[in-house]
Amino acid sequence: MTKFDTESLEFLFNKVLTKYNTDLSLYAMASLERRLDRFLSLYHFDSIYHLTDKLIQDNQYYDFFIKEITVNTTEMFRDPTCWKIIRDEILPSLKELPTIRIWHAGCSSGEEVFSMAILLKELGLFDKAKTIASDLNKEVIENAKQGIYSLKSVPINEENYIKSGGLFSLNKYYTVKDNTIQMDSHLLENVKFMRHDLSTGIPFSKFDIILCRNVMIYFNKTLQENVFQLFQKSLFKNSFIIIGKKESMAYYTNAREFSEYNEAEKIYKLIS
Amino acid sequence: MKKSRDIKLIVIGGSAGSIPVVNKILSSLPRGFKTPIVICLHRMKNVPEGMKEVLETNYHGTLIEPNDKEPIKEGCAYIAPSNYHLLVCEKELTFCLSTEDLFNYSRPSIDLTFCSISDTFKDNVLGIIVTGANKDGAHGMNCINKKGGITIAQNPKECTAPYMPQSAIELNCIDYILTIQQISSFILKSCK
Repeated sequence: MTKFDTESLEFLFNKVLTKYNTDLSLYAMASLERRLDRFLSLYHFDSIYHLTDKLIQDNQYYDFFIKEITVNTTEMFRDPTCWKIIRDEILPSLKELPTIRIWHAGCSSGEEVFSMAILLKELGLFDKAKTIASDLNKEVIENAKQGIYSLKSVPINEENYIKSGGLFSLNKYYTVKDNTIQMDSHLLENVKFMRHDLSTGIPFSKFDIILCRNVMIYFNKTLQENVFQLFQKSLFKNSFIIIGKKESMAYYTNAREFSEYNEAEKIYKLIS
Repeated sequence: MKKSRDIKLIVIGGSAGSIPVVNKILSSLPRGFKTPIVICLHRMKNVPEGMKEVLETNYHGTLIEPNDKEPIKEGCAYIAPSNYHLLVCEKELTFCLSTEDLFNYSRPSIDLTFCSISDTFKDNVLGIIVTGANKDGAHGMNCINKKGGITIAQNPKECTAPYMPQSAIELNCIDYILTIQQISSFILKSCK
């Protein structure tokens, strides 16, 4: 891999911050530099400076760039043991609430939004749910809204769904079209999609469950701290935050204000 | 080429047949062995349990499946978690995980881990590639070699699946071709 010099990276970060208000210097450099390197060679830029010029001149290209350098791989019911706890414990514990407010922070192409909607349906809580699904990137939000996925993704998604305690077969929720599947659009009835940048985000509402899985691994420690603060301010007391299986709240300054509801599945509960 | 003798980190990569090999290496290390070890083995997706227990049998140090941003500590061995790539953050010497696409059909990918570690630890790395049926790791060993680290391939004659160490050997980036026993002795001689 090419290693970039600090000077050229700072040039890119400053220009992007000024024009688009996204601070890439707060990302985890190990991953970001890999993605940048890949982007430069895939789209034939000979330097970071050349790329920066293009990004500053072309807003649409910037959106494309963000989509390409961020990692959007996801699955339905990824880590099924976690989804089983959500099904068996978390959602049932909220069933007396008049409304269950859910935030998918960094929803990517929407697989987990559909996963949650399916769970809510199967638990009879669908009509109570009000969901926000946000992402930094406009293009992936459009993909999420469409709910069209590759047919190749079906076996792993089906396997995850069954392992997570799914009641039926996943094909109850989609139709096959050529090499793709089209998710049932009714599943998104109570979902509002919005563009939202966690790195500059301010609290905009309060939630009973926040899911932010495998998003913060791409941030450095400073940004992780800021995002945890944002989440803490966005949670009701006794509500839940669920992060990725190998992410940890241990380095967050206010970690003590959360209890480890399920340590293995990284489900935390705000206690104060 | 003159190689550094100051090994600050050991990395081990492998695939088919590698779990007993890595266990033999780990269990040969004495109590109080300090040099951190990072292990990247291909593993079945969605079968995350079990490997750690087998690997740590008779190992005196602490075997950890690190979380994102976990610091690298002496006396510990770290195993790349299932379904994530394991990288190292340059400045903070912490782990950094990624869910980006499979690389060489693998996540974790040995190439990604090895290259990231050699970027950070430069010539202070000892890289070891053992049995496996995929070429993942060969490029990573090349990265370690180019940065001046020491590279060892398990003797392909002894491997359940020789393709992985053989691919690295063919890149001319390997300093020593050794049996498991010789690998253990090498570590004991050159690390603390």
